[in-house]
Amino acid sequence: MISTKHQKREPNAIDAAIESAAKHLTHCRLCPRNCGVNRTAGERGYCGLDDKAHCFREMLHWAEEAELTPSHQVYFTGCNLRCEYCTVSEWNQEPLTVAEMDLEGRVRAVERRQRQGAKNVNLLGGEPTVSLPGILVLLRRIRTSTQVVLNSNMYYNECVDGLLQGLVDVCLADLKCGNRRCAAALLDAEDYVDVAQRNLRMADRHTDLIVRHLVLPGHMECCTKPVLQWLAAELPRVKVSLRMNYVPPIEGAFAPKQYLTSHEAEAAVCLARDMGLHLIQ
Amino acid sequence: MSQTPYKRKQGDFELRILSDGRLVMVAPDELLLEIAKAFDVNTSPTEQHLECNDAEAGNPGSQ
Repeated sequence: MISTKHQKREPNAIDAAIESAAKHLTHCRLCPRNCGVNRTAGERGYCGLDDKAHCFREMLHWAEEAELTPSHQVYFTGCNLRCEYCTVSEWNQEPLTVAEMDLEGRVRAVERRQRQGAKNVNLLGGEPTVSLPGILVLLRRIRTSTQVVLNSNMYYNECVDGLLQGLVDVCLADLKCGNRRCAAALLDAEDYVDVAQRNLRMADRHTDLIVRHLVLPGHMECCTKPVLQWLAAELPRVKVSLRMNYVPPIEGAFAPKQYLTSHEAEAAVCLARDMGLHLIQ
Repeated sequence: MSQTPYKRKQGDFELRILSDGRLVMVAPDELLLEIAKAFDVNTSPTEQHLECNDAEAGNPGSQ
């Protein structure tokens, strides 16, 4: 059962958040890329998006964390990272080839998926926060009828956290790497760890936070271990989900080329348990 | 035939059959998951015979 630690935002406050988020797009600084482009005028920055949200998939998913499953996933195009091992990179490299989100269609889909058993609506991508204004518009319509899960890479600027307060029940948050060198090589974001750690602390104050870490083959000492150590020190009561489903990319200069071994998976779980972390499945 | 690896395009399915017999579905959508069910195997993330890797790897979402 998910507890709720947040106060739901009033409708007029959601309108204010939508207006504020839309203003950000005229000189976009939603994420640490700080492109400064005017997305409302057709300029495109690192994420490649315009000022609209674009959904490429929605589905009922049965393999999220058990307490969230079945989950109604809604996938948005566009991302502010370039993870070499991304399994949906084709949707993020050309995010505008997908039509603008049909708001009414999405609302109907949420209702339909609820009837099919969905416990929540799960916003992911890509990175959903780069489509923040569109997401807020969607949340204004569905907020009261369903639990909202934000599935984020946690690479965003502080303003995003403020605009999402009171609108997100569960933050399903990545902490991908444990050091700057791996973050630069694997994600194209040297500052990722610092940014994500700051945002995790903030999200923990107003959401039910679940931190996901994808265990990368050969990255136990440089990534998994420091990630778990940081969680044990800074967010010791947070729920931690270790993901073992790494898929090596066909091409990639730095990403591991092998699958995770059962030995590596077991070692990661043992490490987390030894640190007293609250592991969930 | 091109020597460069095929690059997945929007709408493509990617299925991999590993040398140890495992079948990997990369970021399956609902249709592909239905196909997985037809194989009559456990599709939980811990099941090693069939790995249905969701989009999160990479973020997707969060891989």
